Amino acid sequence: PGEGSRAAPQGAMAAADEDMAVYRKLHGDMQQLLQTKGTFAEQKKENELVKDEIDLAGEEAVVYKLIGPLLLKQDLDAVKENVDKRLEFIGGEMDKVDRQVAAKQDEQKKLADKIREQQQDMRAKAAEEARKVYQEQQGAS
Amino acid sequence: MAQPGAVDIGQLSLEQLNSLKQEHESTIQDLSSKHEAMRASELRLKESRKALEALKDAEGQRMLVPLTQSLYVPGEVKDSDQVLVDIGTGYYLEKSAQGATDLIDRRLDVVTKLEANVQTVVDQKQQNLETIIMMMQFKMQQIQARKEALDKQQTDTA
Repeated sequence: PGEGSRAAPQGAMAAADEDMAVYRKLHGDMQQLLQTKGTFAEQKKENELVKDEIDLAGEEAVVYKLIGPLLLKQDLDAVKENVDKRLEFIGGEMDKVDRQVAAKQDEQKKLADKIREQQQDMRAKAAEEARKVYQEQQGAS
Repeated sequence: MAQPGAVDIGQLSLEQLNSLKQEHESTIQDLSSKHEAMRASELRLKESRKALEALKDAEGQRMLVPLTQSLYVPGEVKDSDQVLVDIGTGYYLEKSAQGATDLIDRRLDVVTKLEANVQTVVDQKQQNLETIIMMMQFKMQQIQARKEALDKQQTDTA
């Protein structure tokens, strides 16, 4: 029984290390997702500024688009539609990222709970082992 | 992850504190470069505004038009009240000189507000970072003190 109970903690340690590695990776993944979201937020802001200026300029507005070294005159309605479509797309992408972040947070929380439980388990087992050794010593003396 | 306000950083291990420290440092770096970019755009906007001022009564004025960075062609200002303004994402809006000035003022307003926000966040993160570093130093001192006490104990009993 002595040998068997000493082998179990080793396996538990390896599993715990694996869990920590997964936890850290989740954290890294979330950082990346937040960065992606930040980029989208910037694009959203830029497009909103364009939309505001065009709306402010009214129906007589004349818009050009820079394509390479050329400035090409654009149809106002086409531009408005284009900007609206871009904003819609960015909004959708941001929502997707939000959902992914929420999923990872959920995963992380579950993993944290699991790790905490395992650590409690290991501590309880270690305390039990220490008690047994103490008792053996008491018995031998 | 929780911010230092929500988690007692005194409870964190040295390793955890170190990764928190690195996160803060990298965030501060990113925000600082964003701030730099905003400063640059603020300066560009102000320069454009000055250029518009200069253009005001320039109708008919002779000028040199750049074809490339080193090639210019002599020209004349035709209509100094019509300009094309970059509004973002590759679009340009035709504006009168006054309309363009108003647009620039609106943009400047947006940029300076954003700049101030970013500065506030950077300052806060900087403060947090200092607190984290202090806690790390404190913990390292504790570890060092404990080690010295243990060494002393061992040499005493030897």
